[in-house]
Formats: sequence, structure tokens, C-alpha cells
Amino acid sequence: MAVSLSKGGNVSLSKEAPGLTAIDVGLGWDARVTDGAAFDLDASAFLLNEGGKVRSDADFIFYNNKTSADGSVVHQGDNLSGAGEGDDEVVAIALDQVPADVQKVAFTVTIHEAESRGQNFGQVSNAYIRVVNKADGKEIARYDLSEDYSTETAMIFGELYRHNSEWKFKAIGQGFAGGLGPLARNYGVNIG
Amino acid sequence: MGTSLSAGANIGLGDASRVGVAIGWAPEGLDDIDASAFLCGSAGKVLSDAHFIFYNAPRSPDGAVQFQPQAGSSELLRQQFEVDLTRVEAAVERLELALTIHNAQARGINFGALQRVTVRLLDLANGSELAQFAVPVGGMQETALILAALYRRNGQWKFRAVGQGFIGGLAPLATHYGVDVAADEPAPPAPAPTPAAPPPPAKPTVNLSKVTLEKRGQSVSLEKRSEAGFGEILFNLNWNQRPQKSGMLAGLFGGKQGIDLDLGCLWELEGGEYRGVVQALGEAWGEFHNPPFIQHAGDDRTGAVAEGENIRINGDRLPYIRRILVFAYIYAGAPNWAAADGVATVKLPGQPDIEVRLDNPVAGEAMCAIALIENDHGKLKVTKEERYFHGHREMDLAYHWGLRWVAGSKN
Repeated sequence: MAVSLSKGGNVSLSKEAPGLTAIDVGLGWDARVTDGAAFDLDASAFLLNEGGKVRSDADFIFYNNKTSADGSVVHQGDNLSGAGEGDDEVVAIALDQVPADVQKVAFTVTIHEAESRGQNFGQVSNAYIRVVNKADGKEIARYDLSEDYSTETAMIFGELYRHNSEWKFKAIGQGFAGGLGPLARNYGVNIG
Repeated sequence: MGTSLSAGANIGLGDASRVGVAIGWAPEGLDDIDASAFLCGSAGKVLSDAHFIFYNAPRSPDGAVQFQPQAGSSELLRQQFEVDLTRVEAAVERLELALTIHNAQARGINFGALQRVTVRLLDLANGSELAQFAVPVGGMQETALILAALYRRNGQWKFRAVGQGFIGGLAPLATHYGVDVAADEPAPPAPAPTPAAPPPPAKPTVNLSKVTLEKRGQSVSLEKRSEAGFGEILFNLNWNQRPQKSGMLAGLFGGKQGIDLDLGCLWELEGGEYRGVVQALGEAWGEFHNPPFIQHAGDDRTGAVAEGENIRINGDRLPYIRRILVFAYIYAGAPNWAAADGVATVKLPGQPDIEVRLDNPVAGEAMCAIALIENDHGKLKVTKEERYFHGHREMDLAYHWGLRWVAGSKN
């Protein structure tokens, strides 16, 4: 059974899905039906070293850099409006291919141009981010952004991290002011 | 003061079981703004057209949602929904609350023309404010706004500030929720009938139209829509039955006593000397199927009639009717029309509602002639009167009705 996390949830999920080999991080929301600027949510991933920083800017996986250098993390495409069924954006991770000097992978969700468009997660219908075990398609963890993060515009969803010989997933659910740029800087990316 | 919400924010309702959603706006002068509610299932569509609550349908089928279009006259309270959350039928997942500017595009206005729109969530158990949402209307081009939503979540009710809408007004809003709406404008005249097969019966639609007679003497004429005639014409008078308490003793001494307002009418049939009155006084209830083809609904609280007092007019017998003068009479107490804040609505099947507000009250006069309904060469003509008189006799004289009046009392 999926674990639905509410705000501030911080749960180790190794028991939920032991022996993970591959996961999908799925982001979904409903396209805007009212008049006004579209809701464009973006999923991103950061490959981090022991110190919690990217090894290089290439470790920032997002809509303009969809595949990590080693091919272990693949962003499957940017959905600009939320149109369509199911997950609107997916970041796929092959755990056994992640380089040894990557200690953890952080996942974030942000609203594109949230400030200029005056948007937050609560204005978006049915926004969620979840992690799915690719082996059996089961949901491991999920945040309902529209409900529990309604006044946020950017959020650190969770971290995948090495523990002994296996991977664990830790839900974080922490709002982050400023959007994707400051988030990336926080992880050591040089934003132009 | 309750929690201040920004657009998108939500709160749980906790133990509150009866809540009010109070809607207000400023400035006052911008009129013809209407709230409505859409009672939606899990798919985000209304369960039926009857689950669209608005001025022509102020009550939900389960009775849990009541719309009060005349709830107040302050910028924090003009219209209100009262919701008994314990009675909302299980299939209703969300109550989406909207505000629209009537005929906005034709009038060239939008919500950006308003200074403030405020939505407040009240706990009706104790009157306290749970939350407040100042809708950011500055620069908005929308003419229909989803203000807020009450919705179920994990077995609890929550409230969300929304503040999104549609530039195109109530029609796209209603369509979004799956309500079939009739065109707002009257259809162009039909071409000459052809001997082809009769058209399929039109799908029933919700009538969004409304005609407000604003000035004294302003009138509207309606054509009948079927061979039979106009059907049942309902004349409803609604008023503020519990005026504001005027002091701390008001609750002890007469504070619960409402304004006793009686609806009645003078009638005159075609062909001369056949005239009379229908009113509660003297139990002159009238008859619907026989002359005068007018009946006072009296204490008939079947639930089919709207709040207030009602007179039913047999519109299929319009050819026999010459004119009807509908009046309201303050039977007891000081005749304070301003506190009564009355609004009369003429409802006809398949026609826009006609609204007459008593917005130029004259204190001290007990009688108000509200509207004149006339047979205008087969058309139904409704004229706003709103003329105030001392009593029946003075009104009768002014309209040359010619009845003889004696003092009476109500049982």
C-alpha cells in the first residue's frame, strides 16, 4: 500500500519496498480549465555527492537537460500544461547504474514562473508527486500538493540515498521559497 | 477574525457542521452581481441541473444548501449560502461557489471594476468567522469567478479559497460544471413553420435569464410560449423577516417578532364589473381554476414554493384577465419598508424571472402597490409600480379600481 504523506512527513520507506532496483518519480496535475496562464509544473532531479552537492552542473536533470551523463537518470519530457491522463512528467532512475560517487538523488517539484503568474500548488487541481517501484508498478510514497502544500510554489519531494548496499527513499516534503533557480543553487548548480 | 486565506489555500472545518459562506463586495453601486453554487460529484460535474443553486433555484434538492440573495447590504455580506454539512447528500463531493456579473460583456465590465470581493466562512453554531478570503480582483478580466469550494477530503469537510474564473461569464462557468444552460439572449424569431416533422422536444435547460425592472413605470411584455397560454405564473414576495436587532433589549422585547407583511392583489376580469381582492385579510384566498383564476398560496408550505408569500395566477386564463395589481401591506407594527428590504419575483415557466425590488421605500405608509400585471393584447405585461399609500382605499382610488372598503381584521 502506498504511503500518503502529509506536510512535514519524514519517513524512511525501506520497509515499504525492499530491494529497489528502479523507480519512477511521477508528477501529475490537472490542466487548467479556468481562464488565465496555464499551470506548468516541473519535476527535476539532482545527483548529489557525499557533501550534498552536485558533482557538476550536468547532475541537474530537468527540462533542458533530460539525461544524466551516465544515462541512469532520465527525465521523460516536459509537460507544459498538465494535459493528459496519469503522470504528466516522469523521471526514471535505474538504481544499479547510478555512479558510485553519487550518494543520493534529490527530487523537486516547482511551478514554472509561479511568481509572475501568481500561482501556487493549491490553485492547481489534483497536483501530486509520487515515487513508484518500477519492478511492480506500486506506489511507494505520495504527496498531494494541492492539499498539503497549497500555498507553496516549490518543494523538495524526497531523497533516494544509499544505505549499506541498498537504496532507500526518504520523504522530505519541504517547501522552498523562490523556485527552481534558488533550489538548484542550493544544490551547488551554477545558474546563469 | 478567522484565518486569512490566499488563493489556493485551504483549511479543515473541524467540528463545524452548519456553515455560512458570506459573500460581499464593494463598491455597492455595481449591481446585478449574483452568487451561485454547483454541487458536484467526484467527476467535478453537477449531479443534475437541480444541483445548480442560484437566484431561480435557491435550495438544493436535499435541502442542505440554502441561498440567500438578500442576506445583507454591507460590503462584507450581500449574499450568503447556508450549508448544513450533515445533510449534504453523500454523492456530493464538492460545493463550488461562484460569483458572476450579470450580462457583464454587454455592459463592458468585469471583476477588475470592483475594489473588493470578500468571502467569509462562518460557523453558524456561534456566528464566529472561521476564515476570510480577500479575492484578488485587481485587473481581473473575468466576469464569472469561482470564489471558493467546500469539499470532502478523507471524511472531513474542507474549505478552499479559489479565485479563478472565466472571462466569458456564467455560461462557460455553468458548462464547465456540466449544467445545460439556456441562451441568455432571447432567440431570434423563428422562420415561418414548414410542414416538416415536428422538432424533437428541446432538452430541458436551466434558465439563467432574469429581468429586473429598476424604475417605476418600467415594464416588460412577454409572449406566450405555448398554445395553452402562460401556464402557472407565480408571484413571490420575499423580504427580510427578521430585521437587525436594534439594541440589547430587542432580543427580550420583540426582537424575534418579524415584519408581518401580507401579499395580496386587486384583480379585474375582462367584461366589466367583475373585480375584487385576493388577500389573507378576510380570507379572500381566490381560486385558481375558476374566476378570478388567482389564488393566494396562504400557508401552503409544500416546499414547492419559494420562501416568502406567493400568489399563483392561472396564466392559461389570461384572456379573461384584464389587470392585476399586486400589493404588499404591513399589517402590524411600524411600516418600515427599508428594514423589510422586499423583493418581488414573477416566475413563469420557460421565461426569464422578472424581479421588482422595493428599493425606494417610503416609511410610514403601510401599503405598497408593487407591480401591475396586464393583458396587453394577449401579451403579459408586467410594470413596476412601487407606489406607497396609507391603505387599501387610497391605493384603490389612485388606480380607479372602484371597490368599497371597510375595516377588517386578520384571524
